[in-house]
Amino acid sequence: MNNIDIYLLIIVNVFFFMSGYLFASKCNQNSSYHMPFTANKTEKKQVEQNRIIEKVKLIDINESKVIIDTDTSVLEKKFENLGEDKHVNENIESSISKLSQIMKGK
Amino acid sequence: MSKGLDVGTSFIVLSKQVAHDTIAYKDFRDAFYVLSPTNPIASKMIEKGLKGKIFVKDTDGSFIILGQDAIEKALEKNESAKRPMYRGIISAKEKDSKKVLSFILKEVVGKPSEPGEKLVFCVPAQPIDQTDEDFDVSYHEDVVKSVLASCGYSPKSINEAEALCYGELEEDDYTGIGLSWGAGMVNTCIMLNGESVLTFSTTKSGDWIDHMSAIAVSEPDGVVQVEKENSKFKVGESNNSPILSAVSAYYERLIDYTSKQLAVALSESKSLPRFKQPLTIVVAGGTSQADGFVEMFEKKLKENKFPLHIKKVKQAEDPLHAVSKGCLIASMVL
Repeated sequence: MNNIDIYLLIIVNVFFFMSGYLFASKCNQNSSYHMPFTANKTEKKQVEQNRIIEKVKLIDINESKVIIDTDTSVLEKKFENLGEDKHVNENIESSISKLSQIMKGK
Repeated sequence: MSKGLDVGTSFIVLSKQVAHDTIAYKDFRDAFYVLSPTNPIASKMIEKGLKGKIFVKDTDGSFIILGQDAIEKALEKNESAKRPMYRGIISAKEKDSKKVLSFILKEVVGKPSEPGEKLVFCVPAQPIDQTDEDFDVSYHEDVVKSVLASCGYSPKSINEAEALCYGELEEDDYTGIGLSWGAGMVNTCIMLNGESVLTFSTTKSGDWIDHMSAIAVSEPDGVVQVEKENSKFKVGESNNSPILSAVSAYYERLIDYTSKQLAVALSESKSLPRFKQPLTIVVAGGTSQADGFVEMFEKKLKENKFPLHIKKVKQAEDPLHAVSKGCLIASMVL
């Protein structure tokens, strides 16, 4: 095989490869198969969309529950007093004093 | 002046200091039961029959019985009373929960002694044994704050078990562990020199015992609860009553479960300090009042390889009021 034959072989190989590539990308536009790299416009659009979706996901919406005032004045009371009252002998002043001292030191 | 408020699943307890050695507590059972009359005559008869009970009349003509009376009325019909709170926070299951809880809170706390009077109330910690997205402590906290502020108070919240530590760990220089065994949850706080270093909760407590026992004996939860609160039994021991036998067995399982959760949480925690001295563990809450509770808890802590040295396990002198007392102390210090 001389050099001209080799060059011819290379050119023919490149020609058929490029033809096959162009033919496949044209067919790919109409099919669900996605080429592994963004050679066509449709694929480029999809990548752009995905980028936007990823950025949008980072934005939070405030889903904390809204506090709506509850009107209890509509309930008609039918009793005098609610709850049991108890008086207990208990001195908490030393507790308050001790805890205050500890908290002051912080 | 200031006040403390324990907003519990089973009881709401207000505390205030009336003299240097006297605290006044106001308790109310956190329960309700609705009677909906079908016609005006039935409405008049129902209202007559409820004379002497604590109830309100709603705009739709229904009667909402509150507190212990609600539990007793439900029992008459072999049912369980409803609760405005579930597992320590406002119930998302009950339609009227927010309205009823708001009403009860306003009645219990009453008017402040002065405008803007400080009131510290407790909230539960996030549970470590469930990932329920509906468990929204912030929402519960905001609702309670809004109700108390509308009464003229300056409300502030603290963790339930932290409040217990403030009330019961004075002798230990506010270093130790507090466990509040309520109806809906067990809240835990590890405290070092008055500072809370770790707080968490577990979602099985008194109500779980009632519910599991109720299934075992085919009775409503309310029937089991009344039997449990009014009869004698010992944790871990069998009983002549099938209900109390079931309750006793489930108590042991609950204590075992909670001590295991506690051991794991402490072993895995990266924020746990090195304690120089053995620790006092204080327990409180209605669920802790059962006979043999403290002994069983000590036994399970050992069995489940609790990772810290224990000086003693003690029950609060007044287990039902300890958290409210802690809130009162916090209101005067914080």
